[in-house]
Amino acid sequence: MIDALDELLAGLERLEAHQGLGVALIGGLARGVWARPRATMDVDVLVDTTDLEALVEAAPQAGLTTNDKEVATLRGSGMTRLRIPTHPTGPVRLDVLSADHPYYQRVIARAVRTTVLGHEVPVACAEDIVVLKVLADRLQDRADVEAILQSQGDRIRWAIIEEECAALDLTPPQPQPS
Amino acid sequence: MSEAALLRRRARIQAEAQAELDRAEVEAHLALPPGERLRRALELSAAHLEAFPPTGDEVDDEAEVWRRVRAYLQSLPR
Repeated sequence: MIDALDELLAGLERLEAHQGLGVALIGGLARGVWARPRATMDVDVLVDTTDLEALVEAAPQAGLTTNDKEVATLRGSGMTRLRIPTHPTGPVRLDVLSADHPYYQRVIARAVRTTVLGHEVPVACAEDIVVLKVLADRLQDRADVEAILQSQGDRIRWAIIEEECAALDLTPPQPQPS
Repeated sequence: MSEAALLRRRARIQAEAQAELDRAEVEAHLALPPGERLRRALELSAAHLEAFPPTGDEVDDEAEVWRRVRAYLQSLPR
């Protein structure tokens, strides 16, 4: 299964290189960079484009594929789903979010470049994962916020969280006891 | 000291020791380079998927959540 995730990241790296698009890994995997990792089903990425149709068309050049029904279902949602040929269905997938809001572009600009399994993968910073999770606000997202704030302790840059929460009219999370 | 008080004291000591171990584990993780932390997150997810293969009944609320977030962001003044 790690091979499949490796293949997904290779596809993401190729998409970034070939299309010249900024990307940032977000979601559960990114949480694992800033807190104790947890298992997650998919790979969530922000991509600096508003043209997801063009991204879907370019997917084969990056060794990725799509499921027509999924793409049609997700059309107009600001999100699409890319896959690898060996996993045309199921949880191994790239959930791609269009950076169609200025905040998302700031997330991409602040992302930390990492090298994993030989691939260059920009990862959204801890503060942006917190803000994105406050936006999504599911039970799991709240648990992720708590885990990141507890793990990061004094390292967290509260100014970024407070500034972005103010800009997005969100209530910032409370500091966690260490 | 009563038996109940002794049990409470033991539970508190155990909880503190566990919290200390958890903190040490998190610090050891955060001491690794970011790429290594991401590799560990990927390996954990891969192992979980192998141990608990998806049944097809999993909740897939990603699209619904991001639609809601998008509508919220678009409602904000720019």
